[in-house]
Amino acid sequence: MSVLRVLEAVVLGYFLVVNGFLLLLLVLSALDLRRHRALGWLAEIDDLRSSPLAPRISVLAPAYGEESTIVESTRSLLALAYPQLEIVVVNDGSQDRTMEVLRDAFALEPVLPIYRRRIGTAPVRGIYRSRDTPNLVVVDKDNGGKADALNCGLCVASGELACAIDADTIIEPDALLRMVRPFLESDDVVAAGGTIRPVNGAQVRAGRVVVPRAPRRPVAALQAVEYLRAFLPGRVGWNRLGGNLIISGAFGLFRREPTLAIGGYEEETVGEDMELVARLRRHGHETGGPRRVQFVPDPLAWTEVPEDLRTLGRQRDRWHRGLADVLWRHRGTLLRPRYGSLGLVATPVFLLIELLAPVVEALGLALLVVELVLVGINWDFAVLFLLVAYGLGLLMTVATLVLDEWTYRSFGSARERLRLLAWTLVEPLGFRQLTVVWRLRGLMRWLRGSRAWGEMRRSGFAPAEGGVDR
Amino acid sequence: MTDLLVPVLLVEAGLLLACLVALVAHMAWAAARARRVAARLAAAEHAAVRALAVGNPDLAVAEVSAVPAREALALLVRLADAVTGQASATVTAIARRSGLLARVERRLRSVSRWRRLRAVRLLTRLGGGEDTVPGLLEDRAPQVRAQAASWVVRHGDDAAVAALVARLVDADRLARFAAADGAVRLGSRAAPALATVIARTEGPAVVPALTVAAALNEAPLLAGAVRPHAGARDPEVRAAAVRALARMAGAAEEEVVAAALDDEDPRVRAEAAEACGRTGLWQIAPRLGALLRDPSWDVRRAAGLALRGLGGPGSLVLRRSLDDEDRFAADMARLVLDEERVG
Repeated sequence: MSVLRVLEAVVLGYFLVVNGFLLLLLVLSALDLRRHRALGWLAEIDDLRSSPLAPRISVLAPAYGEESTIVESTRSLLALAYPQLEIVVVNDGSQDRTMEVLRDAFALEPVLPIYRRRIGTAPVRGIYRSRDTPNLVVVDKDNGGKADALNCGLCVASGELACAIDADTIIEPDALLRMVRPFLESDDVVAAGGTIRPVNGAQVRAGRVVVPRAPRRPVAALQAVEYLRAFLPGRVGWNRLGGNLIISGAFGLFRREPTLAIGGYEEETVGEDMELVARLRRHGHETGGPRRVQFVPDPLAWTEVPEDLRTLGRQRDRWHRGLADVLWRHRGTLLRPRYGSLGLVATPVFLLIELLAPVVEALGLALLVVELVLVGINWDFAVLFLLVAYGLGLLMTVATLVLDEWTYRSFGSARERLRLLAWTLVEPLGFRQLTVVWRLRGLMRWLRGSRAWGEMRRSGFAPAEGGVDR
Repeated sequence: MTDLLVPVLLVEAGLLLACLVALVAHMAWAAARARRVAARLAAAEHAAVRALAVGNPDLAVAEVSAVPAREALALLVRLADAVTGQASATVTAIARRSGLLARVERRLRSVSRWRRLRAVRLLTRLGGGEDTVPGLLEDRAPQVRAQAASWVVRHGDDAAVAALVARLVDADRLARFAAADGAVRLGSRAAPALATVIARTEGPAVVPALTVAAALNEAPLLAGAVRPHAGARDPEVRAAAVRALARMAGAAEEEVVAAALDDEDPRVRAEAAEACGRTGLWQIAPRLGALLRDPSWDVRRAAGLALRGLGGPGSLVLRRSLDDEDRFAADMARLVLDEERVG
């Protein structure tokens, strides 16, 4: 019986540590948001918009099987407000008409730019420049995966900074003007990330979100709640703890030279975006180069999230495998003062709180069942504890909604935020437990050596259900 | 343990209730405020537009004063962004006569850097603050110094411009960037002060000033100050000086640029090669041809593109280099000629 008590104490202790840390992140993010609001308020974005000294940014957009969305996505990239901008779309051996669609839409002509192949990639079939918009370059290459496509784009690009996005990500027009700010403030910043919101449910026209709305379908709506919590307190709070390990692959900005110096994205992992950030930070500590990762909390980009549980499960499985893989690759930084906050804070926290969370939650559930069968349960305690756990999760999310209400009001009108509030009540009742199952599955698969990506079903951007495209 | 959970649950419930109340109350307050202010704001906007049309700020002062300060300032900022010249002066006058400018200028003395920052931002858009904002170029917060630089670009006199240019050696990166960006926008107005800064500053700290010099076409004022830095100890400084001289003075600085082709640092050699191509120094084509064998890829590329930029003499050197026994030189020559052929 004492074994059960010990395990109980471990689970309870873990619960306290995790929620204590999340509350800390919430408080830190509130402080950082205050700073960001002041910096962003009436910021001289207009001056930066025409500055000849702004660092050149190359936006890298890998595309595979994106014929339904690639034109709209590319047009939205070309409409980004930034003075020194280059768009590099990398067609990664698509089997559909992605390349043909691009050629027709943008009047592409073949070119032979002089660039240095500092990272080996799958063969390049051709490089094209748009006759109508010369800052658009399209690289057509053999399939090599997302990491390979990004590495190819890194080599071809000419910017001082490289912005990696997913081909179906919609970026707000002034997003780069906001996201470049950390690089203007410090030479020590090596990467910056921005806030992503689910685009499902929003009205999209000509590659722009014209009416932000919360998703209507349950699976997407629940993810909207998750994303809000993950980005607003989750990532902003890390700015005060020395920087995050995660920059979303859907939208991140990196210094191109250090990224090339470390060999670009790692292909042998499914967590290539997180792995790159970890390696960049590590490289910075080892060489005395830039090493800080900053998160810009302004809502900057929109991406399509899965609307069915099967696809979502595969995604979360992959994300957790990626996390496990990255932490294993960079285990050498764990608790080593040489690596500063990376080794002393970020890696231990991600190991204990992110990676092992599904294991401990599953253990807690198993304990419950064992106790029920073997010794009987203290029902008072069990019910109260479940209420406390549910309430804490709810509190975190509602507090995040308050922060969002105070700052960016990401999903537009008050009605949309109230809609999200309703989903907040539902999220801890089953959905979160499902994510635990998926993450646990991912961890098991990683332990067995799986590296598969799985397919994402995309529906493309369309006017919202019942919406009028004015 | 069970006894502990009850108070925890109560605290949670209390916090949750507080958050829900805060959320809903804020939404309701924002909506009510917008409805309450809407009519007055519309009247103020109508009056302000009429005032701008006839150039008489007094036509809008009463209506603007009737709107809460936050909305009134937002309205005037929106109008200020949309107009120039005399209309801008009218917007400033409306802000001044309705007491808004004085209110904002008081915030410049706040202990909170964020309040000072917001105040400078407002004054940058609206005008005003001539007596106080230039002093904020020395503010302890770099964000405020950077914003003050933006104010100087739009509203500063010559003394303020000189103070802005002096910030090119600021310890903070953002403040330096804002000063450099501001100096470039000011153009020839910044040149005299820039020459002084370049002449007095040594080492890497002079690089931002040299970058600005490269963007200004003011060779008579600046070339003399920049030229000594072409022989600086730091290669980053030498490279920036060569770039600046080439862009300002072109072929007139042939001697300096040609000497830099033999520099020990590849960054300087690459800048010099690029300068030769831009300034059309065709006599240097053979030396650029030799740089196609440089150990640095960036230098080889710059030399190749420069040769292409020189027209006939350069193309001749490139074609001869196709048979160079150094395969890197031949490879770069081929790439440059292929790019020219294909696009």
